[in-house]
Amino acid sequence: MHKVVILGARFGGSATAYWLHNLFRRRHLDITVVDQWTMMTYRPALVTAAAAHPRLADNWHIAMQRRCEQAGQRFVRDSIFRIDPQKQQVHLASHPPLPYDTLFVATGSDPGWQTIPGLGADSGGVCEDYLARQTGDHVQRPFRSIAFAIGPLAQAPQDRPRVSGSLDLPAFEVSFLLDAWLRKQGRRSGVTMTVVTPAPVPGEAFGPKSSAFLLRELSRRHIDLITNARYARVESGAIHFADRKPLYAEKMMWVPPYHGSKLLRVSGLDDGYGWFPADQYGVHREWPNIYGVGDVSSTALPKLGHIAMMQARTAVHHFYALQRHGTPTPFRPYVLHVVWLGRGKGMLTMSNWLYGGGRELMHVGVSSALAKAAFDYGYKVFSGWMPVMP
Amino acid sequence: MGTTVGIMGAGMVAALAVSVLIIMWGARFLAHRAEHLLGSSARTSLMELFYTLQAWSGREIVLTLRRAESGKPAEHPMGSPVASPPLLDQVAFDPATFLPSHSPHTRDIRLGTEIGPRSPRPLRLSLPVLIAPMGYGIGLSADTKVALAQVSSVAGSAASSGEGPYLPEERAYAQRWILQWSKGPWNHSRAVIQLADMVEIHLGQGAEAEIAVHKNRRLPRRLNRMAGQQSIVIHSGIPRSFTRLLPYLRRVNPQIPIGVKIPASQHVEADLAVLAALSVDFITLDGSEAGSAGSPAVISDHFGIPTAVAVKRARDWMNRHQVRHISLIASGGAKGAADIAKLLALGADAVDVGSALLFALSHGQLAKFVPSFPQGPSALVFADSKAHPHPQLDIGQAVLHASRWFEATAQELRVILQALGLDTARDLSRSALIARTSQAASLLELPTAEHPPATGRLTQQVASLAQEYQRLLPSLELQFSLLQSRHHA
Repeated sequence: MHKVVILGARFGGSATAYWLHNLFRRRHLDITVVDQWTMMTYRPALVTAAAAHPRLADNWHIAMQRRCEQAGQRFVRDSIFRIDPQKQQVHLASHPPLPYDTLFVATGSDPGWQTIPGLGADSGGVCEDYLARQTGDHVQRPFRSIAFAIGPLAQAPQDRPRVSGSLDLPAFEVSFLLDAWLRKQGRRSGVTMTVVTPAPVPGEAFGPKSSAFLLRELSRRHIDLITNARYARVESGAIHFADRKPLYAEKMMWVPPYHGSKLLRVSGLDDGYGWFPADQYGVHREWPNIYGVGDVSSTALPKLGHIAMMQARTAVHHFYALQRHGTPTPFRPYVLHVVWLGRGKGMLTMSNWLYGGGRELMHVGVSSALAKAAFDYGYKVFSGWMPVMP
Repeated sequence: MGTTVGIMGAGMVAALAVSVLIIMWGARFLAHRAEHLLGSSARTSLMELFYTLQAWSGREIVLTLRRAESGKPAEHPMGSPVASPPLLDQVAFDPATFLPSHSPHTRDIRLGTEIGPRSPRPLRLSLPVLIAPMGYGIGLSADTKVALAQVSSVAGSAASSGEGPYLPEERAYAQRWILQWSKGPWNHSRAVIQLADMVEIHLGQGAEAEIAVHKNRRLPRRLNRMAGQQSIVIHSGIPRSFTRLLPYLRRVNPQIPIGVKIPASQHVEADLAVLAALSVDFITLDGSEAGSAGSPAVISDHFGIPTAVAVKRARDWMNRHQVRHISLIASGGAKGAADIAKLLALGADAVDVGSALLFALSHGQLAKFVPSFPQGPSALVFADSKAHPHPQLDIGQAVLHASRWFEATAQELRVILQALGLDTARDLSRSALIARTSQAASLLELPTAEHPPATGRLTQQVASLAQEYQRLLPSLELQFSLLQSRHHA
């Protein structure tokens, strides 16, 4: 039987497991999913926890091991240490090496906390359950100023398109949600809020309409914005920049810098900058039996769950086409995202502007927020394997 | 009529007799249960409270829970306890007044420290507090380990594997992860060593000295599966290949600090001499106050020297031999910021904290135990087999409370440093301490309130000189006798 190993069981890995289950019969593939967590944290929902509702951070765990095992797939709970592409083996921390015929790498990007001096997970964050919970707990207490800072994205120089920030959307979402919550509490006038981004505009991956709306919204809510940020160092209560005065903030919430994957570096599978060098089908440039899916891939821009799910679909369909001598369809990316605005509203953007297209659909209102809520709850209820997958 | 009264009277007598019998039987039953409780394992019954209250004063518990609740420095009325206090409580701080007067007392105070400064990637901590090694399965449950790993990341501290097997979630959540290299049947693969940010070779610990530990009851199924057997033995002590182990670990992961944990003994200086010769990056001294999930009482209650004394003697030895590159970690008995600051002042670079964190973790969740009488609250955090159902730890709540404990502790450390007129935790030294009792004065060579510092210092110097001379005397006599024998030959 053909041995398929999926590394990672978050957005990309889970969608890969779904498509393999959906396209192939059980007897054709021996599928193993490896992850260090048996429970997936649904990260897009963590912004609500960071906005003064810390207990919500523990409401978004999905039993991914059970999901995979119900579908007849094997789940190995372990840390992935190294990939040996020549011997076609994955080395794990506490299990024997795992052989594969085809490998899907969906382990995501490592947070590069240490790439900015003084920055650490203890500075505050939102991208993991414990960080969002901690931020949510901190902002419930009295404070006078808060910075929502976005780390840079360390792309390879040749990568196109170019994106400056690791992922700016959670920072905007938390700032809007917290603004709404503080107003409800009657505390907003005593708090200075600042969003800091390395990008030239807010929502850099969306397009001009969405960026203009976000600018207006920030201004309307008296949330300051610092663009083109070049970080020098971080210390308790202050962010220092290379080319401007420091920003003093009592509380901080960081989306950390993304600088690729240590696993790929250790395995010699990266593009020299820590990213998976993928072609338009997600196939590795040197190893045709290795696919890269989601944040880890150099072509996953911006680093959104929706992009990871689309890449998983492309990669597994390519693998299926090879097995069946069919014609695969290349990855045609577009951004689809809803930014929470608070008070039951959202900003929905569907755009291919980042990839050179000219389309950007934007809608602001309750229906956008309802669509996001429906997707979030649908993802949770179906454990990531929804009846309709992007 | 008379017959009815007679029947009622007889009925009442019978009811009374039955009641007396029930009371007697109940008393006997209760006595039997109490006897059984006294003889049952303290690890799994309410008897653990007895031992907890022996080791912890109610004051410390309430203060710890208060910190976990509020995230602020804890306060309490009614003064401080003085009756039979632990050694660290026999020491006070010397407040800054005109001296030291070099800087104002309200500046930004830094708590950061690093372990193993000579290694290419030292372990950098936001505050000089480490989460004590407590192993998965043999000590703590997986949920507790995960919670502690999350706490370590948000607090800027480090989590440790303890002697238990590798837990992937723990490594994933901890930004800084210490591998404790024990003689257990796991964690020896190159991959695990390379995933670590620091390796601590476990040669022994305060509560167990260097004996082997047997675990065969109440183990999670996963642990048995990993060990491949129902009974687990973790040997302690110095392995035969110890001198080769250190270079091996350095070869596998040359970037990180590698050190050794030993129980604090009366011959601590000799141990340090051996370890310094092996060029370890840090040494953890586990004092006699240190606890564990289950150790023989004859060891944990009757072996070793107090952590404070061990740290003081170790720092003295390191100063005398100009050993500056080895970090010293104090372990055992630290309950809060005051104890941590005192151990730092006595010479530690960082302090392990275990029990206080378990208290903080379980805060707000102990009410789950009210209906289940025979179970002690530690069932919330300790590992157990599925055959013994117990309430599950709410990880989110546990992390919030333990993180607040860290925040409160950091603030309290800053308050102490502020009152001492110091800028950083590294500036803490023995000159900041005063002995409250003659026992502390003699054990820790600290001045007391009766002796002004100058007199105290001179007395200390003379006493220290006399001690050194006494240590030197046997070797001089030996050399003299050798010379004499050579001369006669």
